[in-house]
Amino acid sequence: MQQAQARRRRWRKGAAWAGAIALCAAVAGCGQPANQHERVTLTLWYWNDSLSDDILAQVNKVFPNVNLKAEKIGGDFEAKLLSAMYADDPPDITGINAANFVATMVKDHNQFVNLLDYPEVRAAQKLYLPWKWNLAATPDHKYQVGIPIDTGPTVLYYNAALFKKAGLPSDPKDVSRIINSWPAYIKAAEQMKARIGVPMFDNVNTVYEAALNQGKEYYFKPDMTPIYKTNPVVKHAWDLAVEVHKLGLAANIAQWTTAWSAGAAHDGFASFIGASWMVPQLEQSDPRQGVWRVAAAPGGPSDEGGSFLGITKACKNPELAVKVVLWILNPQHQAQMYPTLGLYPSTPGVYTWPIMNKPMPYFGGENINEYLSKSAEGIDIGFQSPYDSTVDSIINQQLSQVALNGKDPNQAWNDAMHLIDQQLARVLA
Amino acid sequence: MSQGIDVKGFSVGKALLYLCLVIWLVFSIFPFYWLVVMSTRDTTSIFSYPPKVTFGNQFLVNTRHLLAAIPFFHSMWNSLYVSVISTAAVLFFCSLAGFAFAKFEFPGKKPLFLIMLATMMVPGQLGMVPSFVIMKTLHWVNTFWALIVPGAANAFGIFWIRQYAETAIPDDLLHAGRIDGCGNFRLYAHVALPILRPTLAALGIFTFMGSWNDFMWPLVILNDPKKYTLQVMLNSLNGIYFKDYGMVMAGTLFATIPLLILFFIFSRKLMGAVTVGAIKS
Amino acid sequence: MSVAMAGTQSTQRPKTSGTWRNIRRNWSLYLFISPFYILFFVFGLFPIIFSLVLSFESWDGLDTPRFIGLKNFALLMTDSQFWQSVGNTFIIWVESTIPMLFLALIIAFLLNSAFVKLREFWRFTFFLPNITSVVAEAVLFGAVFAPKFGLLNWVIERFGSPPVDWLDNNFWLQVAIAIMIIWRWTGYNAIIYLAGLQAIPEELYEAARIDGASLTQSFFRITIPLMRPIILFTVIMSTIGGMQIFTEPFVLTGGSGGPGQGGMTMVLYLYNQAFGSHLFGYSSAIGWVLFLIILVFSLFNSILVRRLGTA
Repeated sequence: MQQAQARRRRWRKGAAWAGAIALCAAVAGCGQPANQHERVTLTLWYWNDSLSDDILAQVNKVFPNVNLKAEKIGGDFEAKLLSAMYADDPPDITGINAANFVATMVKDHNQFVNLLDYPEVRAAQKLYLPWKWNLAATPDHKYQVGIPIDTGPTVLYYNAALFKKAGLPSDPKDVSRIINSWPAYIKAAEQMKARIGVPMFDNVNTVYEAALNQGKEYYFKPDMTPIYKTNPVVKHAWDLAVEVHKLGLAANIAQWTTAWSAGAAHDGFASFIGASWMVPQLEQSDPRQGVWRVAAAPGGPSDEGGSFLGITKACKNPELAVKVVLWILNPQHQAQMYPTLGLYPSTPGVYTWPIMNKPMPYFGGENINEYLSKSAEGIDIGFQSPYDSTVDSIINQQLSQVALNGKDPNQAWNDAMHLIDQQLARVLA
Repeated sequence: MSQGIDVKGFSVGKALLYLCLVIWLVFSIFPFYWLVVMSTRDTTSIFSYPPKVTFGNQFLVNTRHLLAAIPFFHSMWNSLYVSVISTAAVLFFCSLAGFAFAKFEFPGKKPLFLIMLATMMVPGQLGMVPSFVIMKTLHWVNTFWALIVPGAANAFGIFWIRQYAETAIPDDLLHAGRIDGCGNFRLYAHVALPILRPTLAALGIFTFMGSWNDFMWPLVILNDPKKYTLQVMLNSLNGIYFKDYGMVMAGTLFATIPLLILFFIFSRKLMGAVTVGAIKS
Repeated sequence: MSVAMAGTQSTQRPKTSGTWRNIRRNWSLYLFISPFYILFFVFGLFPIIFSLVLSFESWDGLDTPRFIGLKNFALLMTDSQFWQSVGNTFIIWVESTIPMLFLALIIAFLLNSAFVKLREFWRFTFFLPNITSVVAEAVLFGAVFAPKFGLLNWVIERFGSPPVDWLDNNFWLQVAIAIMIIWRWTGYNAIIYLAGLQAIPEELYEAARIDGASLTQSFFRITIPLMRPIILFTVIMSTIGGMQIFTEPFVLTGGSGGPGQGGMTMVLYLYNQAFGSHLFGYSSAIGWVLFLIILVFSLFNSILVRRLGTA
């Protein structure tokens, strides 16, 4: 340090910025702790609310030889991860979001360590929901890129106060029984609109996604035959969304925006079908206790999202990383992440645990797991291709145009199909 | 000193004129005020209807949330680091080249200069993908090198310095220096640099601001949040924490303050540079 | 070019030596200017050539690139989203540049009038928006434009109009982006114009007045022609800037370009195809087509402005 100071003094007569740079370098150098030479540093990328910060903070205590650097990536997580992969500089462990992206990662599985190479992974496999587990596996089940974090059983979230005001049933049991199908849901929405003028739905895209996920086939068959133009599930979901728009039943507020948070808190919309991970979104948007309730989703159970942790080829110590990942995602922690983050466990063994079945004051003392577990048990998931997200985003774009810009629905459907053809031609060029 | 419209004594016209100026003043300043208002309130009160237009008392809470959520000041430090080094490099390399082009004759000077001018026409953003691939090959992705090096000697800066140096540096002084046995570099360091100081200051502010506010390229290059510059961090903050709007606004305010301070100090210089640049080119 | 003969060769130029010796004698000067050429070669020229190669390939960045000939360009010609993004960019450019330069001219004209007090103060405050970062500006304006519960819509509703879908409707999203550009750049351009106006000698106006010219006449006969080069400069600068609009729509729409893609600008589309859809070859082709579009448009633009000035 003294030497550096002497050197700096000597340079004082020189350009001022030289000093500035020296200072920069000195301070930057101080930023790195020196006492961790024995530890293996593992970087982990995740996004807000996708893992428990508390559990991540314990890793370094439980594994004395590990220095886990967990980093929350904002903005477009997938783009950042891919760009880090292009640059051969990905994190050691990474979150892999929802079904669509995990399919892309399965396609690029050579970027990841094959988790089946590790006996402890093979031993743990039976703890996890098989269909969820298989979403992160190649079709031949020989290459596993990720271990499930959570799963996304969907339920109906509704504002009980508004339901009551509109003369609709407001008790979860009654709601589940009476509003049990899409026609019933839409009928209730019309009543809501007529009585108190509040839109039942947040936006038409939520309607589309919910209805689509309730189906058993989406955009491609497992042999990659495209069926997005012909699959009745897709068309039904589209038609439902268009109907909701035509009847003026949606608030047209997109999810994951400030407007949505404000809308939830200020009676901007009365309900939405969403996965369990919408719980913290809702809680942080609308601090009012006991206003929102949970019931069974009209139209049946479905899975929406739920992510994975994978270990990339950049990891220098995959044995250790595997141990850390399995520890983070063990059943105890899965159960623990549910009440705090709404991350619904992918290990079904814990569904009956008391920690999973506590009444939640936010939902007026309701045990929402009653409906979540029912949804989770009823899920029958279809094939998801690496190109599903391409198709899905174009359809949703066109749907938004119908809802927000008054585009003709038939025109929008045709445009969507045309744009999908074009984009797939580019991807497969 | 004054030309143009002459409405002396015509008080209605005068009032109208001031009215126009005040309207534009409000338009220019109000967003800053609104930023402060939002950063001192919690999210629920930001989105209450009708909006609350006075300062709240949540500023410290918002700041605490901000610092707990992300390494905000670390990214501010990153921005400072990148901007200062970029500026230093630009000033050094551009003044060196600008001086050479302004005051010396050497074979190939004219074509070289013209080539340099022509490169200004190439919009750099369009080569985004190959530039990224080059950075990958150099292992510069996710490093500050990728932000600092490519622009370290740029055509705009060289042109800028040359325009000034041509008339500002007297030939006699260079002759005298040469007779004293100065080499070209010593002529640069002892004769040219002191004279170029005012224009270097202007170019320096430009470069610093450009580097500080740069967004797209850092967005492409930086993956690791620890490396994020302020702008990338701000975008990420806005993307993740949209539910805590007061906190996002506090971050936005903090991100704006450094340049505000810089502008309060250098406003004359900067505005002078803007106008000189426009009139000369 | 007023260049001094300060080089070492000027004292006694040998007749026979030729240029080579001349070059060697001036090695230090080449050293002075070399950083630019080296950096330009590596980070400017090479990427451009490389992107030409890439534009004939299909590559997602992870697997090995495949040569596919002109297919990327063929797909691009029929890519309606791309052409929409070109249209959007031009619309935003027109909606921002014309009001911006017009307002800047008015403001400069007002500031230049004889009796304006505190000219420094006005200059300072009008320039202020320009120093904020575009990201900060977009975050801030995003809150102001928020479709529900936003400040601006509250004001609009107070005046009895229905709220405006600033961020969702194509037309209004483009207006919103244009407003942001206007907010940021009008003062900047006004400062430039003001300097230009102050450089016009008072005697010209004096003479015109003696000749009986009206205020409007002297504005169009004296002010505008003398300001033409400066106006041309600002038009060129805002064309270059306007064609590369990226950050405003990116931050405002979270990179999506808005639900109806109204905020999808050319560069945003390029970015999304490259780093969102991972089509490196296709986006390189986009880069080349954009380069041509911008080139043609800039030329057309400067010709047009020159014409307007002389007419």
